[in-house]
Amino acid sequence: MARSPNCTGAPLFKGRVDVSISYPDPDETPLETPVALPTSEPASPQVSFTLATKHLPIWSPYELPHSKMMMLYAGGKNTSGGTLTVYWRVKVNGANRSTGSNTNVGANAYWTLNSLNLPIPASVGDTVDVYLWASGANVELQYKAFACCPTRIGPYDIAIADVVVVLDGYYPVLTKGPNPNPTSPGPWRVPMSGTDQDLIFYLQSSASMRVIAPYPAWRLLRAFYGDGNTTNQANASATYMPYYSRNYRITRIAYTPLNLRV
Amino acid sequence: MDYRIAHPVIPDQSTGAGVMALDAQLRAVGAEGWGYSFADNTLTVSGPEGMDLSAFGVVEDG
Repeated sequence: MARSPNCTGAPLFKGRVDVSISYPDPDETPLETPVALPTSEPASPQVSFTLATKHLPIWSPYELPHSKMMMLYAGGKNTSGGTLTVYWRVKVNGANRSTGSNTNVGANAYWTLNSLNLPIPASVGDTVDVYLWASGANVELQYKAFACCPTRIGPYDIAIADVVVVLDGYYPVLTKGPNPNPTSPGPWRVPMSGTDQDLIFYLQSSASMRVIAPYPAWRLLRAFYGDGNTTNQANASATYMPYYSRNYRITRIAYTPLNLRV
Repeated sequence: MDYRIAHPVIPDQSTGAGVMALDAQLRAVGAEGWGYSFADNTLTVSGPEGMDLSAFGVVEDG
């Protein structure tokens, strides 16, 4: 009797997969000389980053299938005596990606742009440009940062068993601004369906799963900020800058592939 | 509170004037911040509960 091509007899175990991921420090620059924002959109970007190999997480002993995801932050201070609006435009490889504003940057308050809706997958050589302006004089750009992390990690269309995901810390950790403050870290999503509207497990600490069959769209693990939640906003704060969103950091993934196509 | 509107009815965002025009419209209804994504043509607005954003499109649930 012919076997179903989708179930080649009893599930056969292949070799155990066990990889670790390490991360470079984010590309952070506190500006020695703050840049005054103009009061209309500038012709040239004040912030520009190009994704390079130095930004990439390092997998060992080999990479799992994944997509690269860029994360960009820019911040400064309203040194005027009144509340002002900070506007931005983000372009990727010269094409418009996002616009927006924060209308409520108070006198002597900080602002931080979180550009976490950049294209996925990113590729080495992709350039992100940020154009900033304000509704009045005396708003400064003081800081910029850029990082890259994996998302949509792992195999799909096969079942995997004894899955171990280790979360250790957060990424990125920004340290060079005047008073960094992260929001609650983004949990990793384990999609349990082929859409992003249905059942999802959220990982906020290391976890194990007996058996799972990831769907193609988001694979085994999907980042929250930057992918599942495409944050595109400027945070205002009297004390914090950068005031930023980030995710828990995955440092190890292990599983055993089953010879069971689903 | 954040509101999300797919396919919003808004000024052209390809110019700085369009960005500031949208900002003025949203500020007039109480918005504190907003972001527009060209990739999925979606507007996200931050502001107080109960904001009337019907002029910009249909606010998604949740």
